[in-house]
Amino acid sequence: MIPMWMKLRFPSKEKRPVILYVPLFLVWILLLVLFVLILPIWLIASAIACALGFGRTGLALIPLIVSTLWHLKGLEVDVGSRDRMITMKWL
Amino acid sequence: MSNEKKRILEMLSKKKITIDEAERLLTALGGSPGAGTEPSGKAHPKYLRVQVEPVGPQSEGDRVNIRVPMNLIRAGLKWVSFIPKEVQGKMKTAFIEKGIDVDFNKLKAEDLEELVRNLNDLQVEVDGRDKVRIFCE
Repeated sequence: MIPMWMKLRFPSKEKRPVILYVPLFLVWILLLVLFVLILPIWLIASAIACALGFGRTGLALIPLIVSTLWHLKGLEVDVGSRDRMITMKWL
Repeated sequence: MSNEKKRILEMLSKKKITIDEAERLLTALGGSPGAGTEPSGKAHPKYLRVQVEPVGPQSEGDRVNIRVPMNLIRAGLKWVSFIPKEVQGKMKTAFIEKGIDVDFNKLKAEDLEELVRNLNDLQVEVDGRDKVRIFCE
C-alpha cells in the first residue's frame, strides 16, 4: 500500500521534539494529475523509442516508479545522537 | 506432510543435500522432521534493519537506525537494469578492487532471498568506534 503520511520528528530548542505529519496523499494526487497530463506525450515518445529499438526502457519506467513508491510504506530512518534524533517514517 | 517437505526429505535420504541444508529448507517452510511445527521468524522477513551505534556508554557519536521494507529492496533491484552499461562496468571495477565480485546484470530477486535467508544477525565493529548491526525481522 502506498504511504499516505510521512511522520517527521526532529529536536527543538524546547524539551519536547517537533512532530510533523506530511500528507503524502496530496503529493500522490499531484503526481497523478501530472502523469495524466504527460501520458499522451509519454506514449508517443515510447512508440518512437520502440521503433528505434530501446522502447522497453521507457515503457518500464513508469511501472517501476509506481512500484518503488508503493513499497515505501514502512520505511523508517532515525539519525542523530541520543538527545538529538531526527526521525522519518513513511506511514 | 506437504509435497515440499516430502521432496526435501527425499533429497536428504538420497544424500543430495546435507542435514544442515535440509533443516534450513524445512525451517523456511515452517517445520522440521523431528519436532512439531515451529514457525520461523526468518521464513518471510518483512524488513531489513541496519543499526549503527557508537561503542561505549559514554560515546556521543551519531546513532543510525534504518528499517527498509523487503518489498522496497526488491523493487529497487529492478532499477539496476536502468544503469548504463558503461557505469555498470565502472561500478564492477570499483567493487572488484574492494574484493567483491558482483555482476549487476545477474542480480535477481532470488539472490536477495538467498542473502536474506542466510543473514542471521550480522554485527561488525568498525575501527573500535561504531558497531554496525544488520538483521532481518
